[in-house]
Amino acid sequence: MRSKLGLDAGVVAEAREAAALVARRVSSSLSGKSTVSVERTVARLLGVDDANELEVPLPNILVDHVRDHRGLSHGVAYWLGNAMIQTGKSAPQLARLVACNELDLCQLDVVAERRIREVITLECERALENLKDAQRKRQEFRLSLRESPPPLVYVLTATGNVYEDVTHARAVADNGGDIVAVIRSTAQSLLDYVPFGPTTEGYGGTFATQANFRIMREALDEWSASNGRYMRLSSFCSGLCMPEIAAMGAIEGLDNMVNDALYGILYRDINMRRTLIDQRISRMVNGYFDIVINTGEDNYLRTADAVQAAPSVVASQLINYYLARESGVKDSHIAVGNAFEIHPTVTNGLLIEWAQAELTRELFPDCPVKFMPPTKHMDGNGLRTHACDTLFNLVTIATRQGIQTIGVPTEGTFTPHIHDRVLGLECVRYVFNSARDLGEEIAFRQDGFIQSRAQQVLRDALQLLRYVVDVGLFEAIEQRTFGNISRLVDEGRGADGIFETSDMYLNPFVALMLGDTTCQNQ
Amino acid sequence: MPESMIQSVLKTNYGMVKAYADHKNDGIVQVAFTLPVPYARSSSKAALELAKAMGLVRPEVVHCQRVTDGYTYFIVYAHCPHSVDFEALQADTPDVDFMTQAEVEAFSADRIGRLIVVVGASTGTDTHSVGIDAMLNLKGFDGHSGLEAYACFRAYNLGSQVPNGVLVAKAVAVNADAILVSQTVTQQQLHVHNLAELVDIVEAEGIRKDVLLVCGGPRVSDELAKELGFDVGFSKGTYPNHLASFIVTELAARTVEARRDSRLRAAGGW
Amino acid sequence: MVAVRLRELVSSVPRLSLFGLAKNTGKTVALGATVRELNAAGFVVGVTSVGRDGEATDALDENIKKPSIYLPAGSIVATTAALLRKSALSREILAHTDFRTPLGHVVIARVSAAGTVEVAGPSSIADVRVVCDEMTRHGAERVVIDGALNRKAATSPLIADGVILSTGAVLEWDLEAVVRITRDAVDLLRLPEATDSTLRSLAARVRGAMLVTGDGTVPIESEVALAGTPERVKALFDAHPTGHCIIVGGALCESFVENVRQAARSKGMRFVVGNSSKVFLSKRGLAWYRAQGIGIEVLKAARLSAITVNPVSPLSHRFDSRHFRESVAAAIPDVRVFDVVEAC
Repeated sequence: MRSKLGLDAGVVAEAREAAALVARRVSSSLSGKSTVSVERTVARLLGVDDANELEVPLPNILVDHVRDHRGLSHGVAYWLGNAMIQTGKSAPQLARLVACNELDLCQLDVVAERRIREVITLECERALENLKDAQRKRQEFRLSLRESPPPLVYVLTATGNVYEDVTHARAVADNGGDIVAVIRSTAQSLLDYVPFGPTTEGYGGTFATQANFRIMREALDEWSASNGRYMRLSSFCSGLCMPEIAAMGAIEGLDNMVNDALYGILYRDINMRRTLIDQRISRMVNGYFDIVINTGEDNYLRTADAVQAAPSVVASQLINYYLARESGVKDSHIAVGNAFEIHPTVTNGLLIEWAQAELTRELFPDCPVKFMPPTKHMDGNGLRTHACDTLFNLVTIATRQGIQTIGVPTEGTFTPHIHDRVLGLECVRYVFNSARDLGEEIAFRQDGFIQSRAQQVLRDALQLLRYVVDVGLFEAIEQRTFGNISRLVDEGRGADGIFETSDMYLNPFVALMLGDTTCQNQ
Repeated sequence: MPESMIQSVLKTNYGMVKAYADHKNDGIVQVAFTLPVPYARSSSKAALELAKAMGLVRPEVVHCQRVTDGYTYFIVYAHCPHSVDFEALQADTPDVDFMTQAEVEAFSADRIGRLIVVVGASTGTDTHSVGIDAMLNLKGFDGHSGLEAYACFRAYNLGSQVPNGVLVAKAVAVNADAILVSQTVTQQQLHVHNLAELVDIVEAEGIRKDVLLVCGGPRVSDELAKELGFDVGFSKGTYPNHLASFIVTELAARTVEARRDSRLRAAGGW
Repeated sequence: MVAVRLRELVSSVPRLSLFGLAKNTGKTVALGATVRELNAAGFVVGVTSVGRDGEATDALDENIKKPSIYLPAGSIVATTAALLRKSALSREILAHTDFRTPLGHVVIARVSAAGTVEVAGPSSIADVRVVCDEMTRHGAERVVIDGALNRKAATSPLIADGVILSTGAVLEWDLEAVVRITRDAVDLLRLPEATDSTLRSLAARVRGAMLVTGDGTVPIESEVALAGTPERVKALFDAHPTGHCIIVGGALCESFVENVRQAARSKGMRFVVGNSSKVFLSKRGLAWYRAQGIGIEVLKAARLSAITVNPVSPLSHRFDSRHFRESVAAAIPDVRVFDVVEAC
């Protein structure tokens, strides 16, 4: 396809190479390490769920137990495998015994490492196969139904009460939404555990729990079956439990996941090593189960100026893309992020947005790209927000974005009410339909405003990527490269959850999920 | 600033005011809401009845639409017969105008001219850091950046389950201008005891007059805060810029008074 | 009669403060009774508060009606100008002060006709003291200070010569538990005065905190006293094993007491603090610490003038008034106990 923006193929190629190098170096700098949340993910994939009477989740109890006995460097899979051999019990049964203080995993006699590896690998394979089965059934269900053409319309609900979220989700579906994402309770990302059970109280959102996933999944499946159109479900793999939420999503049949370590680093002050290790496994799970991931570049534009920060968005999209590839996610499942956040008073702001949106499409032709609405400068004046959203919708359809998070008129006022979302959807429907093939009709004037802007942003992004190659991603983050925020490599939350793995370390899921393709990266 | 503004407002003599659409005292208002009723012929009647129950006169449904099964959205125009005594309101409490982040920064540069130090925590056994994070952390809440994002603030967020003593010690160590406490759990009035203890420790340490004491939480009202001896309380619906507006306005007022006091003292007028 | 006895008790105290153990323990009613009794005894009464009280409804639950503060004609009050205006009482402003409250500046006024008013005095104790002095200067013969909800500062002997403590059924479902909580609070309020003259003279000059050892004194950073970890406190005692007394200039928090108890182990420790309003124990009672060899003394003791009980927990349960009073009186010697409603 010829570039509408007249991009220099050499610049594009060089930017890609630089980003791929950054991603490779990040991965290798994190090898030989695991985290408590990765180990809890192993437990969850092996079927450990539930919580004790103090509402401490069993995966936490199990991993803390091994950690307290200084056995974590072998990996929780090692101890579970050994205990399975010694007791003949399953992982969930073992976790329950540990929770009642009836079993000390690390005091059992230990059999030969080779034997443990065989047994636990078989268990892991079986667990993955069961989940894969469920996923295949879901795929059949989806293919038997109608789906909207892209851009898929992505709508948030955030009532705090999962049962109210269901009502909102039905309204979203009734009014043409394609993906429902339940916003999490503020600062759930800082919890080093995943709450258990259905929840009806949240602050600015609803807790992501496995039970809440299930309740929402059932409601959407029911709607899909009776209306003949498949509704997708999305949640958030970010924060201190990134990989665990990925596992829960796989278990409960989610279709999309926001999956971005940088969000946690910059905006939740989570330790960067911790969350990048978590992200690697988290994306591996998403990739293996064909869950579309969304990266969060849109967030930078909320703390930095959208016009100035454009090159950092492109640089981050490329790095994030290669980090996802390293974890085995396919192009068709990597939705890099972008947002329509230029201040409404900027002259030719629409043209700048258009250039950026088109640039993202051209750089990631096979990725869905997730385009986010204006929020930063939106205020209580909902009619102004609605006007801005209309232009946003126009750019979305004209640049053929893969996924669009809708703008809602009361975005800047409070967590939007049910009818506000319906009004937002109505506007999306109107513009998408009214300008359906506009993109095909448009060619940009050679060296005109839009082409020049896009080319400039790409050149600046390349500069930035060269700098990141020179200093490394960690140093670049320290130097405020993204979102105009600095975070230090040794600081931030959750650093104490990282540990060095020993020679005996076992996590069969990694090799099983990556298969042959990425073994050369190990 | 507030004092002189209030004076000028009072001189204008607003008296009783009604909502304004295109004629003074026409009282026309718009209300929009969803009712959990099906989209049917009778549903508009429900909307009209509700509008009347609100005390609105001659309501008219100008728009109604289906939201989903069993939910319908209405836009209603009506006359609101009520009026408010603006003058009396102005006299009740010294007001603080809410400013945007940029306005707070400008105000602070102009009237305070130094970094304002804020120390915050969720105290006692409360494990919720949600509120304090929303107010202080960069990311803020609902698209409103927290104080960490303001150039005029230096914000320390000590997190949750912080003993009152630790919070006060930190405030002393960094010479804080304001102490911010968040309380989410309100079972058995735990928050009341905990908040009162904080104020008493601040008093016992002899720094009550040197700091602004601010508390917040979904069930903490301004009334309760003041009863407990805080300078202000923020409840649900508070954004970081509201908090920031209060802090800079109050500090500026105190700075002015401190200057006047020291002049008085110098002149022997105290 | 009960009421007469209350009058006798309060008449002899120049400055009296009211302290409630929780919301709805009847503190505001007790304050009303006190003001009325003092007025009936012929005194000009001055009323102020630490912070704000006296609103029409409860700040925690709008369904609970709260009595506002009733002032007899001729009383003096220190509150904000805005609240005085709101009360619509006819009054004469006697003085403007520079004390800012969240509700505006505090003014001192004489009400010429009886009526109710919301009272919001200064929020700092030093300022309350100045305001009390001012009211006295303008003719108040007795001063009553309404302590804000749960605020111990109001019991400080720096501002009050006597304290009326209000307790009530609202604290717990179980009468025994209410009595226990009340007894612990009174224990804390009536901490004994330190008699050792050396310690007293050291304490009068202390800034932050100080450890008294066998051969001198060691300063303790106030940060250690407020927020020190067990390790830091232990290190202090390891370095100064002869330490036997700690003088605290500011707040004495329970975590510090607990850290010291553990570091000092069997040998015990004596604390000397300014007054009981600076002592914060909520997990364990004084008796427990005493049994562990931990004693707390003050430079200036607070005086408990009376206890009032409210047998009703609004919107919940109630105790038998007589049984409640007798139980409290049996547990707490040397003080009169009144039912706040009966006494009115």
